[in-house]
Amino acid sequence: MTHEIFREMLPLYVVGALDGDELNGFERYVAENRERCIAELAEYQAVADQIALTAPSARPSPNAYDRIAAAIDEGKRPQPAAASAPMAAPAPRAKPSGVQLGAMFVRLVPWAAAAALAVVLLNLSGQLQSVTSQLQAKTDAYNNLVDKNKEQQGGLADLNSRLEAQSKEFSGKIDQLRTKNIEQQHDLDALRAANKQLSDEKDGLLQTANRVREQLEQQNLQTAALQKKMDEETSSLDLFMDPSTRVTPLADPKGEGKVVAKVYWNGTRKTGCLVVSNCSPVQQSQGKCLELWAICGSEPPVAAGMGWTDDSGHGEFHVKLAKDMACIDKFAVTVERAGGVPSPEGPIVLVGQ
Amino acid sequence: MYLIESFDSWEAWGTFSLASLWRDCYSAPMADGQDRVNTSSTAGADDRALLRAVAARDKEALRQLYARHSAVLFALALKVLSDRAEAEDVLQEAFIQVWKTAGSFDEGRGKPLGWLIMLTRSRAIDRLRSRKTRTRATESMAKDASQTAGSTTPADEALASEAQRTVRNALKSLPPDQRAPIEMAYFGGLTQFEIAQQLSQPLGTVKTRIRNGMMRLREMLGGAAGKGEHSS
Repeated sequence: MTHEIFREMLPLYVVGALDGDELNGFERYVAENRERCIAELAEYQAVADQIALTAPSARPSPNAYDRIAAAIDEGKRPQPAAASAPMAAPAPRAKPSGVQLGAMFVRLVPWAAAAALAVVLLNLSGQLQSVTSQLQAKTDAYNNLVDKNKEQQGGLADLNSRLEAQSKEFSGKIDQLRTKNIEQQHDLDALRAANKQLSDEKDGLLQTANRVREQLEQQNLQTAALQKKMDEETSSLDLFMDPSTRVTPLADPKGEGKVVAKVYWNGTRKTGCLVVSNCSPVQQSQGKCLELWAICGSEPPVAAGMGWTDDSGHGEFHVKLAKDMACIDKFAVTVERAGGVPSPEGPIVLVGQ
Repeated sequence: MYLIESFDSWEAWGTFSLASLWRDCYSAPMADGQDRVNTSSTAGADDRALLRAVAARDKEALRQLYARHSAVLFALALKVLSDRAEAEDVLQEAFIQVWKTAGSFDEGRGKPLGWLIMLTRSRAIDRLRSRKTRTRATESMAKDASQTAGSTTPADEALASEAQRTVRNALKSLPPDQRAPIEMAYFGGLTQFEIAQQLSQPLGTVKTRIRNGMMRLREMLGGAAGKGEHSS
């Protein structure tokens, strides 16, 4: 139990309306939290005690205390009032002694009694009239208050019924809104789950697309390389198929190597091709290259192209003259620095006429 | 009406006035008329001092305590039981309990009148619960509470003390649907569940109405708490 619940139960407790588990729980909480509860409990208990004052006024019989006193004296419970003897009757008056009364007194008694009775009746009449008038005034005031109270009670009852109706209406609307809110919450959760699934699928598709794009780019590169190679092969094939193409075999001038090389030169097209096989590898990574030279008579050699071999010593490269020549009598191949030189510097590895 | 009937001697009539009637509203007369003569050392003492004296076996203190509060306590028992003989039995049991256990009264927990009310009410409720006619009595109470006028008569209102009038007005100012369950619990000894059954209302509604009614009473009577107590 919390202190808030204690406060809610407090008004019910002081009028004795709590029962069962609620009563036990309340009393246990008060016992365990005496310091915190005692002031609030005393305050409400004082209010409840005052309700006793609203009981209609009444008084016990005059001899009621005598029974209490008797019971205390005897040390036991008194006899129930219902079973006890009715209110004690006045003690019987002692009979006057007629012998001791004089004849004069006997004669004056009726007159004296009549006079005393008259005085008492006058006094009583005046007081009763005063009391009656005051009671009437109080009764009138009370009736006015009752009428006013009735009006206020009627207004309060109307207000209370309207408040209760509005409370019920609002409660119904709140319940509807809560239900709708719960449904919308469920819809929102479902949409969030679907959105997450779509997002995951989208990520997967993007990854797949990236992989496909990379593969496509690689394939494009391969295709370009193949296209380039095919163009070269086509060009070479055209060159080889042209009847005007002249083939010049090249050989090691020392006659030692197994190098096989041929120059295919088309004088009309001013283009050609050098094919080398079984050559010691000459690669760009070595900082070297094979450079072809064209020689016309006793004129200085003219650069006609350069290239490299693969690891097996095979190589092919185009022949392109650095300048026009009147004739071509010989072709020679030297090993030069990578990038080629304007005039031969390295050793001649192949030569042919 | 009963107060007027209780003046059964010429001396009482000779000193009778409306003002004295109201002033003495809480004081029940003794059979021998000693309620108007204080001869003990406890004369004029407040309720706490009287209870301490009772705890010390001072019978005169008990008599004064009875004289001060027996009317309120008897009216309470009579309201609960609707039977004078049984109400007097309850009153006697309560004061004998006071005589036996006055020493156990904890002054820090409340006022003597509150303790006396608790003793009287709990005994009256116990008797009521043993009756077969209890249902009819509480139904009558609910009917009374539903009516604006309540159960007191104009003459009774005129004879009531200032404290009684204040509390009665406060209770009557409550809406009937709040006053009824409070009176059914306090005077009828019904639990919230029993009240809900008798009024054919949801338990939560009964709880709320009792709570709201008591909070309203606390607002109206908070400052008046303890006015019903007699002191020197």
